[in-house]
Amino acid sequence: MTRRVVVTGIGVVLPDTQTVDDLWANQQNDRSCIRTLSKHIRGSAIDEAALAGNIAPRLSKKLDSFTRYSLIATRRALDDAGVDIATADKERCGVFVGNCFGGWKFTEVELRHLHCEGPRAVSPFQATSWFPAAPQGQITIFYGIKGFSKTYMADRASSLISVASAANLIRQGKLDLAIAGGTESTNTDFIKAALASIVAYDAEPAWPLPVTADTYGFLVSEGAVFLILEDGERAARRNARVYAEIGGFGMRNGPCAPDQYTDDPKPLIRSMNAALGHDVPDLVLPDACGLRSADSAEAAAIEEIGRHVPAVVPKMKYGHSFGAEGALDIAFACLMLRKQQLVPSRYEPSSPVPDRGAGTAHKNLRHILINGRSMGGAVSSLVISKGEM
Amino acid sequence: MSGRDELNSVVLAALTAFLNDDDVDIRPDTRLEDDLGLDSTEIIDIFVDLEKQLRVSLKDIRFSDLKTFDGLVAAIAERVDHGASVTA
Repeated sequence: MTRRVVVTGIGVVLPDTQTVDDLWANQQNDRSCIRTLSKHIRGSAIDEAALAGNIAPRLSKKLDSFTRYSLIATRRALDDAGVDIATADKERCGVFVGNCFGGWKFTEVELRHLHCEGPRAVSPFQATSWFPAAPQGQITIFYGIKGFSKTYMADRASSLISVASAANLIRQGKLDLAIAGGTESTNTDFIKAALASIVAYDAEPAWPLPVTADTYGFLVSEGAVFLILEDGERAARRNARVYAEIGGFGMRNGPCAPDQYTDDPKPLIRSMNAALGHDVPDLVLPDACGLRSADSAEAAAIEEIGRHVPAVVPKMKYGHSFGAEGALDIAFACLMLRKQQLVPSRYEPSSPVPDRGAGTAHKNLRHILINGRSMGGAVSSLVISKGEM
Repeated sequence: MSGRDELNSVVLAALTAFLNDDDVDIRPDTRLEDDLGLDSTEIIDIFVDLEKQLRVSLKDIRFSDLKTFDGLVAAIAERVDHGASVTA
């Protein structure tokens, strides 16, 4: 029998956001995290000073920011779920991480050391700090987790895939519990330069649109969001609070240039239909990447699956956090389903993706559909459903 | 203060800075791996710091040959005495 997979814990490390309560409260006010990050990039960034004391200095100095974020978010998710990994069967726990860029904040410094002082001056921790699977490794080492674990790199769909993969293994009975989500550090000179080239190439996002907190566009963020996924029966046995249930997942490809998002709506229609099955969405959290041609295609795809389905983009309070982005949308979906309330929507859409979910109370919010896309044409969709014990 | 005492202080300061733990008590017979939990990568980081301070190469010292704090100081003293120069 296929098992149900439920979300019992959420942990976040985001700009100006340290708790799940912060995450929800930030949607209810007019304050924005968005600011200028470089000449061509706007978005939000984490104040690392606010994280001091969360990780022992001896360990912290070996890690890139994206791994620090992941360790802190993981601990917060476990605390939120009331799970003590020490008492769990570690062979049946896994760690699933979405990431896009790896550890460039650490690497940038070490490249300066290499070219200014020579190879001996490069930190011996460079090798274990930069690579995208570093958070997975550090989380498993820290908690002694021995079950199947994996890191997924798929641009902004990375953590939709990491969560869907974790849920699939729990469903199949291969794991009982998973720490799943994503992490990203983007506030580095190298990453901002790389992203600026996307902005310049596509020449479509926010510039020269009015630069306000409520402006759509290619806004960049960072941070980590991790979820505790459990077998539904296990969660029920320990009387855990259930935020929501992980539903269907779909992934399709519409091959295009490797540095472009597909402007063909058909792959996304197929991935959304694959994820939904017979479910009807009550709300869509679109990918809404902020690039006009890609967002036009997504808007057309959403129209195709349901003309009257509302859509909101709560992540734009922060911008796009790439590897963490899918997990952030899942966290928003969990909170909305748990509270049976939509986040207010205040954004002035300069991109064609509809933001038509303004409102608060929703009496029967059952299924929320989330989209994520990757450069080169991959598209993913995941359904989060109301948790019922 | 003798040269060995001075070296002892420099190595102790580098080790203490790395560990960043006020509660740790380092004595001559303190075991690097068993008591302080140091591993081979961590000792390289400490060596690189010491190489900058002492202007001496510590490249050839094997972690597996180092057992205690006193042994660490002795191994570094040997390099200092032989005037091993820093090479990038």
